[in-house]
Formats: sequence, C-alpha cells, structure tokens
Amino acid sequence: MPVKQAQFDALVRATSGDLYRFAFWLCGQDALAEDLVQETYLRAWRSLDDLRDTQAAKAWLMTILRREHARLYERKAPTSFEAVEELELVDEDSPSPDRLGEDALIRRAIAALDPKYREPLLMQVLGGLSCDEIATELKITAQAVMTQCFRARQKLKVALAGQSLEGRSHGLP
Amino acid sequence: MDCLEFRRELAAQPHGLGSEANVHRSECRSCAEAFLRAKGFEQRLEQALAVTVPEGLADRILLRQTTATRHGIRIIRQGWTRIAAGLLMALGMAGVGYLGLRSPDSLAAASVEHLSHEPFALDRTDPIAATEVARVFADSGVVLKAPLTQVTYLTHCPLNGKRSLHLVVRAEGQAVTVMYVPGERQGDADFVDRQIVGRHRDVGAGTLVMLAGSDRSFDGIEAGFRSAIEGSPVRAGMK
Repeated sequence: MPVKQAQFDALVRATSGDLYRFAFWLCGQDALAEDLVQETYLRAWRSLDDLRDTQAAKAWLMTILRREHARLYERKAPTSFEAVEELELVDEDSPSPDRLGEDALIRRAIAALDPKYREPLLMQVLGGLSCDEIATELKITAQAVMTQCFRARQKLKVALAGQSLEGRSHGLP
Repeated sequence: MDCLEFRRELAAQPHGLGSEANVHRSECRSCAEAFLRAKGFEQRLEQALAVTVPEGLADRILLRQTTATRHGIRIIRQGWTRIAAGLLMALGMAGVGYLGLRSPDSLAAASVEHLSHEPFALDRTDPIAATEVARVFADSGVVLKAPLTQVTYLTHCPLNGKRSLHLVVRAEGQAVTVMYVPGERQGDADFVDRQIVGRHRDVGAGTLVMLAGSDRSFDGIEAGFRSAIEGSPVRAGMK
C-alpha cells in the first residue's frame, strides 16, 4: 500500500468516530452527520499533503468539517435535533436506568445550548483541543474560549440541577 | 492563584489545568475536591456525547476515497484518450466533429459511482415501513401522496453536491437502486454503464434514477414513484 494511502487509512480509523460525533452534535441529524464526515475525508484526502503535524490532525479535520457544515447551511436552513433521548449510547456494560436518564438529560441540555457555547465545548471534549487551538479555529481570543466553555458547563450543570429539582418536586427519586 | 481563579480555570478547561492551578490543587483541600467533582462531570459529559458511530463508517469512508481516487485517474486517462480521439476526428472530419462523450458529472455517472459507496445497501431485505419512508422524504421537502412500499434501504446521500435520497426497492425478484434528487430535473435518459442498466426520468420537481442488472422492473417502480410523488402513476399529459 502506498505511504499516502496507509497514512490516510490510519487517519480515518483513528479519528472518524470522534469526527462523526462532532458532526452529529453540530448538525443534529445522523444521516447528515455521516454525509458531512464523508465529504470531510474526501477533502482531507485531496489535501493530505497540507497536514504536516499528525498531532494536529483532529483539529485540521474539524476545520474542514466546520467549513463543510457552513457551506451546507448556505444552501439549506438548519434542521432541528433528532430526539436526543432516543440516541443509543456506547457503553459495553449496559448502563443503569438512572445513568441512562442522566445521560438523556445532559444530551438534551447540550442540544439546547447556543452554538456559540456548544461548538467550543465540543472541540474541547471530543477533539481534545486546547483553548488556544480552539481560539485559532474560531478566530476569537483564548480568553473568550475559556469564558464560553465555562458558561457552557455552567448551563449544563444548571440544566441538570433544575431537572433533578423538578424530579424531586414531583416525588421522583 | 486563589480558589476563585482555580475554580474558573477548572470550569473552563478541566483537562488542561496549568501548572499554577495544579500547585493550588495540591495545597487546597476544597479545590482538590472540586477537581474530583469536575472530573466526574467530565466523564458524564463525555459519555453523553458518545452517540453511536454508524457501523462500518471507516470502511465506507475508505471505500469512497479509493473509488474516487480510481475514478479520478480514470477521468484523467479518459481525458487524454478523448483529446487524442478529438484530434483524430478533427483531422479526419476537417474540423467537423462531435464528441458524444458522457460528462463524468452527469447524474447517471454520479449515481453509478455512488453504488460503490454503499455496497451493503443491497444486502438488506427487511422492508421499511411506508410511514418511515414518508417521513424521510418529508425531511427532504417531498410530501408523498401515496405510500412507497418494498423499500429495503433508505438514506440521504450527497449526489453531485445535492442532498438526495438513496433507496433500494425490491421488485420482480431483483433489488433496484433508486436515487431521487429533489429540485433537480435532468430530463429522460436510458443508459448502460459497467454492466449496470439505468434510467432517469423527471418525476415531480426532481429526477428519479433507477439502476439494476436489468430494466424489467423499472416501469413498475417508476409508476409507483409517480403515484407517490405526483399523485398519478402516469406522467402528466400522457393519460
């Protein structure tokens, strides 16, 4: 196998899962997320020579994917999120019903986040990007990224706490 | 660093605390506890974000890329062949020539090419409920007027840069790949490409493309799609 093809194979196998999840949480549609990921890797293949630092591969792919996503919405209005409660979770150990309920709450809260909070949070958690890298990508300051990630987490915690309180007030555990 | 600064940094980038924050954590018991709580929250967050990745995604990406690469090489080769042929024809016909070569960007070519992207589509045999089919069409802005049945595969796919519907329909003992491209009318054509028989027709406001080893079930499938999309099995003006 030529070196370039081997490099691309390794790149796809190492990053496609997280990239799909990033795409999904950007657009909220599983079929559309797969389309975005497919297009992203095709573009990545064509410009693979531009990738100098393998450590930066995920950030590079996320950049391409964000552009594809933006291009898509130049033509089409954003669609709403699928019912996030119905999404399957990756958990080999069959999570408990409590755990599933909590995950559903968090997912609903993530879907409800304003994109300006959700996007840097996704890049940080799914992409493992530093605040500086996210700042470069989003063309804002690192301080602004820290503020947005801070607020995103605060909103998720508030949403979770609110749901728990609501549950208790209705006599639920 | 004081506790407030630590908590802010912890909430902003819990995975990448700086050295000052780490020193503070080792010296402050309540912040060390806050760190553990934040770690727990991050685990819950990661778990919640971990939606299931479609099975075989990496394989489909690689298949599409290798196919596109081969196709690109073939187009380049065909390009040179066409140039050579064109020169010969131009010479032989004293400048009067016609190159009846199909554009690689045509809907027919793109549909045939797309087949290799989703080779598992034809393996599915369980019919998809007509209500689900109607829902997916509606998601593409197409309201079905009659149910589409015998559909065993259905997804959205990009085709020539347009969001299209990719279906497999089982009819008369064969699986037929059907692509519907809403909002793009490409006229009528029948074609054969790499032993694949194809046909495309304007249906509704879009184009219906059918691909199979034989065209024996195309008439029935076209009528079914016309009923579903246009409300009548025959083309307007041909009753």
